[in-house]
Amino acid sequence: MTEHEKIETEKIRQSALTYIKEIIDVLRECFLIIDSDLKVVAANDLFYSTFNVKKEQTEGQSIFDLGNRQWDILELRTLFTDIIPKQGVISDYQVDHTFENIGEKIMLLNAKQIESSQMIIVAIEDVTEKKQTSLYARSLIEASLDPLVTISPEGKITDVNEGSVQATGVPRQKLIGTDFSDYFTEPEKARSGYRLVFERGLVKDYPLTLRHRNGKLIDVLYNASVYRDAKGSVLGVFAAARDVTIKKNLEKKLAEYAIEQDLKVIERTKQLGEKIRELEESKAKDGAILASIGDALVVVDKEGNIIFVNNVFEELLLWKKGEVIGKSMVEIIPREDEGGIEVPFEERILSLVLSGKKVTTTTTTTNTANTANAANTPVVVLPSYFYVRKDKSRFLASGTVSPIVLGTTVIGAVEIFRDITREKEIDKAKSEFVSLASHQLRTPTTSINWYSEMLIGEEVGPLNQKQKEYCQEIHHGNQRMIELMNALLTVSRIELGTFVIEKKAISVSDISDDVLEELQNQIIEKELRVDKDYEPENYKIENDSTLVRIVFQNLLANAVEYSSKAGIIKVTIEKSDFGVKIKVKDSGCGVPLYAQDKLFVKFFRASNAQVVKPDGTGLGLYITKSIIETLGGTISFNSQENIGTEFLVNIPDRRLLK
Amino acid sequence: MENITNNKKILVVEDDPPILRALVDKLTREGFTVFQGINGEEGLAVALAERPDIILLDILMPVMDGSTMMTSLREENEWGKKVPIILLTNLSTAEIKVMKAVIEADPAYYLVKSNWSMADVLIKIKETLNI
Repeated sequence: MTEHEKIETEKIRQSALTYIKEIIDVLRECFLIIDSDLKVVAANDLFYSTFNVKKEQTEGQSIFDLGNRQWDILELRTLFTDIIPKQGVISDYQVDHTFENIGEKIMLLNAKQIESSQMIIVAIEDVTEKKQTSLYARSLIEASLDPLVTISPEGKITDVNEGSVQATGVPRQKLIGTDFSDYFTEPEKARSGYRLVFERGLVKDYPLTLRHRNGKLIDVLYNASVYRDAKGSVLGVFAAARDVTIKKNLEKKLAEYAIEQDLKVIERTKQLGEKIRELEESKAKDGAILASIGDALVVVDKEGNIIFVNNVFEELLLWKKGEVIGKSMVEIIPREDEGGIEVPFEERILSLVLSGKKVTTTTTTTNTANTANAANTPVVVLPSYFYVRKDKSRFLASGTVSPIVLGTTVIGAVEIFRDITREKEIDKAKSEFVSLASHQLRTPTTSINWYSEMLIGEEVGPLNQKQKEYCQEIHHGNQRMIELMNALLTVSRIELGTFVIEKKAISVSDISDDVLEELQNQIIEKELRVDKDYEPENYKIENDSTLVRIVFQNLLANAVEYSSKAGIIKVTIEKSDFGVKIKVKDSGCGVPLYAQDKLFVKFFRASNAQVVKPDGTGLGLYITKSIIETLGGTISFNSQENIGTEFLVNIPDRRLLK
Repeated sequence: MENITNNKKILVVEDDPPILRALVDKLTREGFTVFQGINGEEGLAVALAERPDIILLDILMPVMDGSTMMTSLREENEWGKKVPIILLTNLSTAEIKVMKAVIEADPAYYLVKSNWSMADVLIKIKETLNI
C-alpha cells in the first residue's frame, strides 16, 4: 500500500468512523468501538453518562484502563482476549461489577469484530435495574407464604416458591418439571383449572385441595393468570394459591396477638360454617317441599316478574313454566272480582306484599273490601279473587302471599294458592241447608219458648220449687238454641249473599246507644264503666241500619262479655273522610298472639275466650266482619292479652261511595 | 182488666198446632174472644165472618200464605182495609225485606216468633189495640 493509498484508507476509515459515531450516538444502548489493540476508538454519549467517564479520558485509552483501571474486569479480559478472537461475535454476555462511584452494574454485552478492520463494536445494555426489579419480585415471591407456581402450557411446573415447597413437602427441584395436577386431591379438576386460565387469561378463586406429602390436606383458592412474552405470546400460567383453611395463619397469630380476638374469628368461621350447612339443609328441604306441595306456587322478584312456578301452577293455570318465567305475574294471570272486573295492580295482594306486608286471603268473597285502607291496619285479611287461566276460563282461588325479605329489604314474594271452586259449592250447599234447617227449627223452639214461659208464669197452676227450676233450665237452654240459630241464619245469609242493603240516613251514635241500652243489665251487673265519645253527636251517614246494629251488637256484647268486673269500655264514633270511624275498646282478656290472625275465622275461639264464655258460638266476629265488608267498610284490631282489645271499624257513607 | 179484653175479638191464623194452641190458650186466659184458622184460606173466611179487632197472622202457611190472605183482606172491603194485623213469622228481617212490596204499603207490624216472649206479644197486641 502506497503512502497515498494509506492516507486514502485512513480518510475512508475516519469518515466511516465519524459516520458510525453519529449512528451510535442516537442509539439507546451504550456503544463502544475498540480497535484490535483493545483501545477505545469511539463511544456514544449514553456510554459516558451511564458509566460516568469522560470522553477525553476514554478515546485512545485501553478498555481496561477506563475509569482509573476500574474496567480491568476479569470477565472483560476473557471476552476480549479469548472469546472474541476465537468466535468473532458474542451475545448477552453478562458482566456484574461494582464501580467505585456508580455502584453495582449488571451489563449485558453484545460484541462483534468487523473482519475488514479488526475493530470490535460493543453494545452494552445496562440491565441493573431490570435485574434488581426481578430479584425484588423474586424475593417477594419467595417471602410469600402462599404457594406460587408457574406452569407451562403443557401443565408442567416451571418454577415454584418456598410456599409451594412447604405446602407440598416436595423439594423445589423435584417440583419443577412435574405435572401441576399431581399435587391435588382432584387432578382432573386442577387440569380443568389451568385450561380455563389459558382460555380466559384469568381465573379467580378456583377451589382445589392441595395434598402434602405427609397426607395433610390444605384447601386453597387459586388465582391464576397467563403471562406473555414481549410479543404477547402466552408463555405459561402464574398461579397463586390462598390457604383457606386459615389454620396456619391463625396459629401464627395466636402466638403473636391477642388470643381473644382470634377466638372470635374462629367462632365466626364456625358460625359461618354452620350457617352454610343450615342453608344447604334448608335448601334441600325446600326443594322437597316445593316438589311435593299440593297447591300452586309461584315466586316473583321485586318487580313482580315470575322466577319460579311449580307443577300444580302449570296444571291449574294451563301455562307452561317456560312460557311464564321472566314475565310479569300480574300480566300473565289477571285477577277479577265476582263481577269480572279486573283487580287493579295497586289493590292486588302481590303489590301489597312487595311493599312489605304478609297477607292471607279468606274463602269469603266480597267485592267491596277496601284494601287500600286495610293496608294501614295491623291485621289484614283480604277476599279471594278469580284467577284467569291461559284459556280465559276462571276459577276462584284462595291463598297466601308472603314477602321474601333479605335483612329489611323485600326482594320478592311467594304466592301459594288453590282452586276453591268446589269448596265454595260445598259452602253454598251447607249455607242453604243451614238456612232451611234453621227456619224449620225455629218453629219447635218457639213452642218450647212459649210453653215453658207459661209454665214458669204459673198461668195454669202453681209449680213447686224444683219444677220451676227445671222449667227455667228448659227455657234457658231453648234461649241459647234460638241465639245459635239466629247466628247460623245470619252466617248462611252472608254466605248466600242474600243480604239486601237498605240505604237510609242513620245516626250511628243512636244505634250505639240503643245497643248499650239493651246491654244495660249486664253492664250494671259487672259494674262496668262505659265512656262514650261521639264526635259529632248524632252524625248521620247513609247505610243499612239493621246491619250496622248487628255490628254494634256483636262488638259491644263482646266488650261487655269479655271485660272483667269493674272494667272500662270506651266507644268512640267520629266523622271521617268517607263515613264514620268506630272504636270499641275494652279492658278484657285480650286476644293471644297466636289467635290474632284467626280471630275472624268462622267458629274460631281463642282458648282464653272459651274460659270466659264457654257457650260462645265462634260466629260473632265472623258475622261482624262479613257484614262490615258487605257495608263496604273495614275492620281491624289491636289487642294485648290480659290488657284488652280495641276494634277499629270504618263504615262508609254510601253517598260518598262511587 | 177482663172487661177490657172481653169485648175484644182476636183472630189467630197459624198452621203449626202447638204454636196456635199456645197463642189461643194464652189470649183466652187474658180474656180475649179468640178465633182461629189453620191457613190463609180458613183465616180469610173467619175474618170476614167474625170481623175481629185484630189479626195475628203467620206468613208461611200451606193452601194460602199470610201475605196473600192479607192482600185479599185489604182488597175485600173497608173493614178489611183497616183491621190491624200483626205478622207472626220465623223469617228474619232480610227475608221480610224481600216481601217488602207486600208489607210496605200496609200498617202491619211483624215480629219474629222465636225472638219474642208471650209477654212481649201480649204487650204488642194491647199496644196495637190501645188498651
